[in-house]
Amino acid sequence: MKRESPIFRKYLRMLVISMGGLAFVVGMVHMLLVAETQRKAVAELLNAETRTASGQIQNFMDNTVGSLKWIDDLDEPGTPPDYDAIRDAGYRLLRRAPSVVGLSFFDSRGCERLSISRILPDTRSTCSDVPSAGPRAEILAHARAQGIAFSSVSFPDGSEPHLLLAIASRGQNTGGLVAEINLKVIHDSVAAIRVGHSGIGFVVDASGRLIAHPDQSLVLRQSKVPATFVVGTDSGGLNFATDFEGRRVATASRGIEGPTWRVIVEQPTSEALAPVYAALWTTGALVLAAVLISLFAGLVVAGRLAQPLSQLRDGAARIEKGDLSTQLNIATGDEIEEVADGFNRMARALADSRGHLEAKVADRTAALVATTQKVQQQAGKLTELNAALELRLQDARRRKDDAERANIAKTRFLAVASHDLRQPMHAVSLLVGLLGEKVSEPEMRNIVKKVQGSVDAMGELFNTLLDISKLDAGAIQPAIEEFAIAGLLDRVRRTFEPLAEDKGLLLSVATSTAIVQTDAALLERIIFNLVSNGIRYTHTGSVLLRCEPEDDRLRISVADTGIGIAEEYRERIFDEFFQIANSTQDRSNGLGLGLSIVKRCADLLGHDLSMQSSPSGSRFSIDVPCVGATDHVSGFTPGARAVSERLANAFVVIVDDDADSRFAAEATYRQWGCHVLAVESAHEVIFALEEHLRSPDLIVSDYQLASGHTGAQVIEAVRAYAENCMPAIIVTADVGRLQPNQLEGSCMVLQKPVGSERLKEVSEQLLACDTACDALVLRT
Amino acid sequence: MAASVTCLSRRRFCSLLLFGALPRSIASSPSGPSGPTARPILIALLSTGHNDSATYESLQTHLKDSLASIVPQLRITIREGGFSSELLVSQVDEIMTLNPSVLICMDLSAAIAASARRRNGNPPIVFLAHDDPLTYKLIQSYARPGNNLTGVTTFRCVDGKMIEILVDAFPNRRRIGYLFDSTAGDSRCNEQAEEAAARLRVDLVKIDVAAHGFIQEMGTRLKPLHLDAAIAPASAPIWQNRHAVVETLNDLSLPVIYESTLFLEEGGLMCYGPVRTDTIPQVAAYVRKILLGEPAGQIPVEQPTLFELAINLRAPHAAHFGISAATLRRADRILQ
Repeated sequence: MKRESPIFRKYLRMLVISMGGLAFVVGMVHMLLVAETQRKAVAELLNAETRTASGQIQNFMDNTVGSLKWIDDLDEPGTPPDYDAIRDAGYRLLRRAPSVVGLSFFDSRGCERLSISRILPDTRSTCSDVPSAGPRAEILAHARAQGIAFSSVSFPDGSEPHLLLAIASRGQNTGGLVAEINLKVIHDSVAAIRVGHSGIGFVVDASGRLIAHPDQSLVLRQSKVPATFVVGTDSGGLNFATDFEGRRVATASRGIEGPTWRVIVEQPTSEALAPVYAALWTTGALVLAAVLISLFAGLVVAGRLAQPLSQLRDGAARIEKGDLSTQLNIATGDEIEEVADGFNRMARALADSRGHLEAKVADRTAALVATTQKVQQQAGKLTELNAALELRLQDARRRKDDAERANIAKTRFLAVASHDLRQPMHAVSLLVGLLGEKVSEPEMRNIVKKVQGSVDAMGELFNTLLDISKLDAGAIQPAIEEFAIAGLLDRVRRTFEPLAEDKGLLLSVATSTAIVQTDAALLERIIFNLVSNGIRYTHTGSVLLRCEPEDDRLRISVADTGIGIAEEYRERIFDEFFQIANSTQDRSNGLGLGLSIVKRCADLLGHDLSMQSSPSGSRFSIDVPCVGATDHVSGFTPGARAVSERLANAFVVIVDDDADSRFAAEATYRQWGCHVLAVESAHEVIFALEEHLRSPDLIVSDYQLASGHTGAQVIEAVRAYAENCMPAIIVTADVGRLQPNQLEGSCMVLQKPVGSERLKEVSEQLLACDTACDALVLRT
Repeated sequence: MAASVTCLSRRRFCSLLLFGALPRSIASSPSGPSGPTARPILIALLSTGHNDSATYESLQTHLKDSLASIVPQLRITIREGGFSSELLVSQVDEIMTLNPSVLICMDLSAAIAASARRRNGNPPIVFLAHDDPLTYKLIQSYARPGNNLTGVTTFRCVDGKMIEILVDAFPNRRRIGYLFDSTAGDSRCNEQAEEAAARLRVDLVKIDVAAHGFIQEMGTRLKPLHLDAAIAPASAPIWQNRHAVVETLNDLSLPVIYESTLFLEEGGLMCYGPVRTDTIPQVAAYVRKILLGEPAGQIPVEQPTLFELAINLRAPHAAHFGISAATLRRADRILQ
């Protein structure tokens, strides 16, 4: 058996820890208790010595005070002091009390009448002059207040410590006695203090200066007790310090009544704590012995426990190596022997089953080889399929990238193309309108009207393309605001009513007092597209726009009696360029972007958009947040119908850096009878206005001018020059660049191209507005 | 052996002394065939004049008691100056060649002479003085004397006090002789005596005992002065001739107060002065401290604190002097 086996070490560790640890813990607790008990005993001993020593010092002081009182009694109240008697008694006291160096008697006036000394001649005074002064008189004054007073210790001649002790005589107006005491006499009492073998006692004053010490030299040198000593209150405890000789000592202290002195007793710690150390050594030796015994016992017991287990472990190892003939011979007579018997039976059973297992393993091995071959074949096929799949995935990613690039290119192309084409289209639109008004021949007017229709359609297509490109590019950020829906509904009605009448349709636009919270321009774009779409695909019947409040929303729905949307097209109805029944790609019906714009705007605003359709018509609905209602239905209504006259006489200022557009606008307004001033820049308009006595009635300006100015700045400059806040129209190819706060007063923004009819309509509306400088900004 | 003892440093010596192991340490060190010996510790005693043998014996006894652990190594040598300054100096120089561990000076003059002849402040001096060492600038202060010396003094100026006692004892004797030493370096006692006499309204007659031939002619010189009483402080001339002084003054039937009880032993009437019965043990204790390593200059010089008024009623004419009852009552000791 290997005694170093894990089970042996485990048992050994357990036994040693349990037995030795118990002995150790018990020993430690015992050591602590013994140490604390001995420490208390030492503290009591030192404090007892301190009490004894302080008692001796106290007796000395009490005796001295008693003797002085005896003399002081000679000064009896009501009787003149007999100084001869007092002197006589004073010398008797000096004989009895060697510590008293001198005595002074003061009368009731505080005058020193008699002084007795061992060294100096005695003096007497009649005190005919001022009372005495000095330390003796001062200490007597204290004594009069409290009966007895002690001075602080002084060292006259730089040698022995002296103390002044004053006792007031009886009666309120009597004198007193002051004695000078040489404290060197205490030395004998202090030197007699012995604590143990080498412990000593000494006396200090309140500042820690030695008053008495066995080594008189320390006192005469006026030494102070080392800072490590505790000179405080009577705690009754034990302190440790380093004494004058550098010894580590245990100390205790006690105060003296009367003077603020303390008696300190010290004993070297090696001596004071000797019983503690002895007890600790004894306990420590016993603990060590107990640990060693537990170690020995652990070795024996662990060996006996681990031996059969090691046999079992060795037998198991032999079986592990294939030796199934292993049999153990353990006769411990306990459960371990039963385990060994079971082990032997198990070994025999294992040997028997081994043969069966080997046969089965051979069969299974053959089957496994066949299965493995099949799996390998299938794995080869799977690898080929994965390679093909990877190729397809790469192709799909490439196609997706191509499509995304193409979409981006398309969006960019549409944005640029539509913007750049707006300028000429605007001029063409105005010129065609002008042409229509100038031509009087019916056939020619018909041709011009068709041209006008084509130009309008083309302008609408450009607007649509620009909108979709902005939405795709993410250039539009919704500006959520609260506004009355009534104005929007009025514009829908006025915009599409002529178109519906041309097609013979009934356009019904509901009225509403609701105040909605959304982006006004985007909502208008949605409604306009839905209504436009309804009119476009409805040939007979009606187009109805309704507003239905639902909780905190307003459901705006556009229903038509058109051709409806077949089931198979409903999935694609919001796709770009998708049009139902327009296989000929007739662009007079639009590009198929209207519903795409509606869908993108609704998504951008987060409004729910729904669609219902049947062969008898379609219904599109959008839910808009509703925050309240106005108390009346209002809208933009033109003023009196003297508009045409106002326009005919109006003084219109046109500012446009595009010569064609400027020409077309100038010709158009002249055609309407206006007095027109058309210039290229802001500077020119001011110069030109100086030649006019009349103030402009209307300003029509492009927004982005070649001079770097904007149409808003032009309007502001003209209004400032004329000192009149006349209405203004900004015609721009890029509405998105305008910020509403850039425009002040009555001002309307039109997006190029603008047809002559639209321009005329807006001009008339603005001229009809009486409140020219109201904060009215209109966009279209 | 001698070499090993010589190499024993002072610090090691002191530490061994401290633990009381010096003899064992020396005995255990390598030694020759002559047996264990130790380095002798020499203590020198120096006196200006002559001291009685009892004083020397007392001092040696106390030294041996204090230094019990090194008694085998202790060597003591005594030198006296015979009241000759030249002899005193030669004795000091001789002591210096002996390189003693401590030099004990039995009086202040010896201490002053030894201190002046030392080299590098060695050896340390312990003096036994009957004068004020501070006035003579032998020490820097009583608490810390410095100069690698210390000692014990029995000096306290009580000349004024002696006049007061004398006036108390003999209220009708108003012409008082003051036997003073004009060669003493300290004149404060003279001033104190004159102040006391003025305050007590007595006629103080100052008599210089240091005058040439005064001691020998004291009787004839004092008689014409018609003194009522006298005080005799313990100046050197009077101290050294105390027997003759007391005898002469007694012959003159003059009540005299002295400064030491030794004068009463010679037949003197009264004395008042410091009582120091512990001076010799104190000197021995200082020697022990110095040998233990404490710097002599850091050991305070102690002054007397106990004083005694003694009256010798056995003195000639004592019964006829009529000492006042108050003085008898205040006397600490009366010899009858």
